[in-house]
Order: sequence, then structure tokens, then C-alpha cells
Amino acid sequence: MAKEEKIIFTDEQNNGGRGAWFLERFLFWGREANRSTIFLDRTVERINHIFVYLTWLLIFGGWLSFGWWVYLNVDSLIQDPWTILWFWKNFDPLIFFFLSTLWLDLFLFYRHCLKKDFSQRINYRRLDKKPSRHSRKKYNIAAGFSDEAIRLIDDAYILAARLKQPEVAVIHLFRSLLKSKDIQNLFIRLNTDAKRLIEMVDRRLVKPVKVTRQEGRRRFSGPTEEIFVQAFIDAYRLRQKSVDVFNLIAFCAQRDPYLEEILLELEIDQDKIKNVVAWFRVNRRLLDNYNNYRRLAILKPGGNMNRSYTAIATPTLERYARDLTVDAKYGALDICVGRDKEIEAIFEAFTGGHNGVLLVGQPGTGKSTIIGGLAQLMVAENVPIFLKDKRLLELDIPRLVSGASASEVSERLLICINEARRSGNIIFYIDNLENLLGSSSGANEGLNLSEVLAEAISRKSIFCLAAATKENYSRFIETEAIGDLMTTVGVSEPEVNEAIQMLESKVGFLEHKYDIYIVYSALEQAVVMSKHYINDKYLPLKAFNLLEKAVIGTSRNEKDGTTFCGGEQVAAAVSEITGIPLSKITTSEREKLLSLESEIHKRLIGQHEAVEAVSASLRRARAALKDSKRPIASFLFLGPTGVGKTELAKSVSQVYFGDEDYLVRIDMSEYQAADSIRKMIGDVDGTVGYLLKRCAKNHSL
Amino acid sequence: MLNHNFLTYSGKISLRILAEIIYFPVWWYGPGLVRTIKKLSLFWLNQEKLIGFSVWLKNIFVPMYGQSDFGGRVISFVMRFIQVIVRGLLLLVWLLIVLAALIIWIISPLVILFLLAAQISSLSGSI
Repeated sequence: MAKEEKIIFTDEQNNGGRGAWFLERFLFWGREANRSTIFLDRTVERINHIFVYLTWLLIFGGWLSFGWWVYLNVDSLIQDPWTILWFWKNFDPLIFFFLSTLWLDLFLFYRHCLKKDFSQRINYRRLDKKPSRHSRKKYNIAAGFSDEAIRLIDDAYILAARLKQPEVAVIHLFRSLLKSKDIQNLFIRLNTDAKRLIEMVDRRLVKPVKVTRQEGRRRFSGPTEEIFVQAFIDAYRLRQKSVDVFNLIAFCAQRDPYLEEILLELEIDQDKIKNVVAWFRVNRRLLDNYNNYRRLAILKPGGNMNRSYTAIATPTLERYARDLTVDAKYGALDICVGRDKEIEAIFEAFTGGHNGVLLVGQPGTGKSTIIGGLAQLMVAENVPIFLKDKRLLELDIPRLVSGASASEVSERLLICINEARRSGNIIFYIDNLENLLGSSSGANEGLNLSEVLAEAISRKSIFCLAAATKENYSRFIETEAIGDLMTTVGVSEPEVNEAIQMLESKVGFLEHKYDIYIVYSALEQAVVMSKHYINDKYLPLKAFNLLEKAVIGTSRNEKDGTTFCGGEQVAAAVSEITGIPLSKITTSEREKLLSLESEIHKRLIGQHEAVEAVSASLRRARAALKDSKRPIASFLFLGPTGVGKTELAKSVSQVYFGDEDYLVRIDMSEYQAADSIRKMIGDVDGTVGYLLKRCAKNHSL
Repeated sequence: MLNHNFLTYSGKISLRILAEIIYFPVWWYGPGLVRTIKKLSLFWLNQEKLIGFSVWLKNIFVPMYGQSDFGGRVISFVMRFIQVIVRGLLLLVWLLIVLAALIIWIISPLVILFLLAAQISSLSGSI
């Protein structure tokens, strides 16, 4: 598919409309619009509605008349019930009417089917094929638009006509799009003041638009037709059934500088609109997938038996393991979003003849969610053949090892493995694989359980999935036999946009739980800020936790009337966690920054040069002009003892971070020996150094 | 200009409505029939999945509950055989229902036509 193809707009030869070449076809907007055709279309639509109601009424009347006929002939029918089969033999107006309305039943069904089939508007079969030399190269995109989109475009035309504008400009289209329920929801998610937006747009409507074409009749302006083409291409790339209002809105702001200005004033830019549209689409897709999933989940057995009854009873496993496929069947697991690559890697490893796969990634990156996603795929039987009709069991290591000696534990594990092997329909999952290593309950009996598992995997008698954090993998697992046997699949921290998408799938849950409306900026800020300021945890979990904290904070303040959770609430939550001032630069903070020198001089007298340098760099940092990967600034204060080097550092800490404690003080006289570096930055054996420990948690001086 | 446009467009619309009515019988025995056959077969295949007939048939010689000794094999074969027959019968019932639905689709316009004709002829007969 021509994904990155640049779209170049040109004028159409015949009637001068705008269009573009795409997939070797010329796309153009070929819907004739004028007031009379719009009027006729709408009248036909209205008549259509009336017709449908009338048909229903007639159908109802038909059955009623049949019932009336039965009532009239009830005596003869009781005598011989079979005579009802000959109801048509003798003429009766009631029966005649009933039979005539039966046609309407069929006709209504026919119309319903046609309408349903007609919801597929974009002709992919034609578009995907390369046009031959003889076939038509022009493609009228108007046929690909949904009913709602067409109605709103017509509205834009009527609006322009009413305002006596010579052209239907982008602003008219935008104004009429605002009538759509979906678009209204979009702006609510963006936390926009809808009234103000409409007011601003209306004010603009009164001014005459710049005419791009001189012609007698009113028609769509060049940029508007370009929006139609872009929307169509967008819908085509997303393989939508038809072009909807979301495709249109995404390009409006680009094409009208004044509109762009209005939106910027309301703090909305192109990216935000695109991301929220993506959110709506993800939600709709999730819902579709979910409905489909529920339908398929009925087929999955809920017990330990597979569909072909070849499995055996597994009493030991029932005790020490949790059935993830059953949990997934009943919808108890989280939805897994944007982890297709990792799941594909698991499938590949298994089909490649490896019986053990180990997910390695930082805590909170979603290893368990991936396994949950796999369980859901197994329930829907949307997996390679060897995983079909299988169960995914999570081995509960703490339960396995509790209250037993090492030999008993290994016996339990052996029985579990044996049951799984004989049953043949079980895939193991072990979270925190390192727990199996060196687990010896008794002090004298040191037995490594991983050896037992490793042997079973190497003999290919079971399939096993496991997860471990990066640190534990390199510390404990990599050197063991089990580490050699298992194929590792890396689970990396998601990028910002992926993380936002993952959060989007959880919003419904949070909104429902706390009865708070979450707007887009909250998601964006949760991901961006947690990435910047929370360094000891990983995405997407830290963003989710942050968002939840913000939501809880908002719901606590609900009595004040705030039911929206936006970027500012998230910033407040970050501030609460880290102690850094983050809320939009408030006046007090701005003043503090501007008068940083005098604030410092309240504590420190003299040393003007140093104070100015420090203050300037702090201001620069707050204005976000610094490189986020580097320290805000590094200074080397030189001078004899007692002139105020330490005092300056202390005062900055006091003034800017709010407390002297944020100062990490390292006395270099303690670090004179070569090996004392370990004390500062940590050691290979995992001891965390003093400096790292202080810096990892907070912003410090 | 406006009037001309109005007239041609309303002509177009009336033609469209007329075409829709004329297309009705064509659709019923053409695309509509194909559509119905597709839907019904999908429905039947779903029932098959629910009943699991093919799963049982495929595993008819595979011992149940991992009992791979001789006795186990014999018993499970008998069990599976019975299951296959019962499930097969169930599936057959569904097939009959589906076929009945298809037949109703095919004959219903004809039946209505016939009944209406009978009504009219009995009316003319009585006159």
C-alpha cells in the first residue's frame, strides 16, 4: 500500500474542482450540491421515514386483520382446527388485506438488507486493483462518505447559502461538523469550552471568506474539496467502511489559518485532535473486538477438560496453579493493547521448536498483561495450531513451596509437570522465575527447583512461559541451565504514543470506578510527566499509577465541583509525589524565579557573580530551554574556606526546592581511596551507592 | 435554472425509487438468495462448533482421559462412537432447520402470490 505517498492536489480538467492522484486514480468530489437538490434529498429522506412507519403500521394492521378473521371464525375453528390451513380458500376482505401486507413484510426486509449491505461505501475491490488502460481513472469519492458526513456537508452548503457567501469555505464545514454528537464528544474530551468555540467560529462566519474561484454558482472552495479528498484517503488507509466525521475534522484546522488560530487559542493543536480521534477509534475497535471475543469465549471449556476429552484430571495442578484461560473466558483479565510484536515473538519461539520462553523486561512494562493477552487469544482460539484447545496455567510458586521441605517441594513440582505432560493440554506460566532458583525450605537441603523444570523443558515434555525482571535475569537466571534453555523475549518500555494508547484502554475502568471524566490532556501529561520525573519505575505502569492518583485526588475534591481530571490534576499529583513545583507557572513561582537573586541574598550576602549565574540557569531550566537528559546546570565554586560556597548551595536548595534537605552533600575527603568510588555509585554485586540512591528518587542539588 | 435543476433531479429520484421497487424480485432470487445461503451456512457452522461434532469425529480413536491401555481404548471408542452419533443427530436437526429456512425464503413470494390468486379467483367464482 502506498502509505507514505505524498498527496499533490491539482485542478480537475472538466469543471475545475480540486482533486488528487492517489493509487493511480484521480480522486475528486463529484457530488452536485445546490439548494434544490439538497431540499429534494431531504424530502425524499423524510418521505422514506414516513414510508417505513406506514409500512410497519400496515404490517401490524395485516396481522391484526388475520387475528380478527380468526376471532370471527372461532367456532368453526374449534370444531376442526385444521380448517385454519384453508383460510385462503374463500374470499374474505380481511384475509385479502392480510395477504397483501405480507408483501410489505418481504419488501421491508429487502430494504433493510440493502441498507445494511450499503454501509460498505468505500469500494476497496476497485481501489486496490491497479487500473487497466481502459478502465476509468477518475474516482468520485462522494459515494464513499457516510450518511452523517453527507448530511453535515449539505448543512455546510446551506449555511454558506444562508450567509450569502459565494463559496462553501472550511469554516462553514467546521461549523456544521460541530453539530455532530461525535465531534461534540471529541471536544469534551479535549476539555474545550464548547460555547466559546462556537461563539468564536460564529464570529468568523459573519466575515466574508476569501474567494478562491470566480464562478456563477456557489460551490465548495478549493481547500474544502481538498479536505474531502484527504479525509477519503485517511479512511481508505484505515480500511474504514465509509468516510466519517472524524476523518473530516482532522484536516479542517490545517486548511484554514484562521480556524487554526481559534483552536490554538483554546489550546488545541492538530496532534491533539488526531490523538483523540485515534482514542475514539481504539475504543470502538476494542468494543468490536470484545463483542466478537465474548461470542467466541462461549466455545472455550471452563473446566480442566479440553474439547476432545483427551485430557486427564489434574488435581495437583488445580491446587498449585491458577487457570488463566478460565479467567480470560470470564473476562477477568485486562485487555492487552499494542503488544502484538511480543505475542508474535512468543508464537515464533514456540513454533521454532523451543519449549520455553522467558519474557524479560523492567517491572511495570506489562509482562503479565502480555500473558493475559495471550490467554485471551487462546480463548478466542486465535492462535497457532499447537496452542489451540489448550489451557494456560500460572504456577503459584509461593503456594508450591509453602510449608514443605525442599524434597517435598520438588516432588510437588514433579507431579505438576507429570500431570501436565500426561494431560497434554497445558501450558505453564511462571511469574518471577527467579523464585524457583535456590528455593530450599530447609537449611540443609539446598535444591534448585529450576533444574527440575529445565529437565522437563529440555525433554520437550511441557511448554513453559516465564517472566523475570531484567535485573533478576542477569543476576540469577542467565547463568543457570534454565536460562540457556529458554528463549528470551524482551519486553521494552513503550514509547510515549504507545503508552498513551495503553492508558486509553484503561480510561473506561478508571472513569467508572471513580465517577470522574478524564480528558485527553490528563493521559498525555500522565505519560510525559511520569517519563520525565519518576525515574525509578517504568511505563506504562507508572503513568497508570500517576493517572489513578490524579483521579483519586480529583474525586476527593469532587465536592468543590470538579469532575474533570485534566493535565493540571496530573501535574499536581506529580508534584505531590516528587515535591517538585510543576503546576503551570503560578504567579508566586514566577515572582520567585524572577526575584531569585534577592531571595538568595536574604540568606547570603555578597557573591553576586555566583548568585546571578545560578539564578539564570534555574530560570532557563524552568522555561524548559534545557536539555532534559542533562543536569540543569553544573557549577564549580572556587574560593577559600568560609566565603559562602556551601551556603550558596544551601540557599538555592532552600529557595528553589523548598528545603535544604534536597541538597546531596558529598564530602570528597571521604572518597580519597580508589575503591571508595563504589561507595558513591554502587557495586557490581547490586549494592546501591549513596549518590545513586539519593538521585534516583528526587530531583536534587 | 433552478426549476430546470429541480425537475431533472426530482426525475432522477423518482427513477431511483422505481428502480428500487423493480429490483426487489431480482434481488430476492439473486443477491438476496446468495446472502441468505451464506448467513445460514455460517449459522450452521457455528452450531457445529458449539456441538463439536468434528472434534469428536477426528478423535474417535484417541483414548479419552489419557487412558491409553486396551480397556480404556475400547471404552473410549464406544463412548466416542455414541457421542458422535448423538451429536451428529443434533447437527442434522440443525441442518433441517436451516434448510427449512432456506426453503421458506425461496417459496414465500410464490406462496403469497398463489394465495392472493386463489383469493381473487374465489372472488370472481363467487360473483
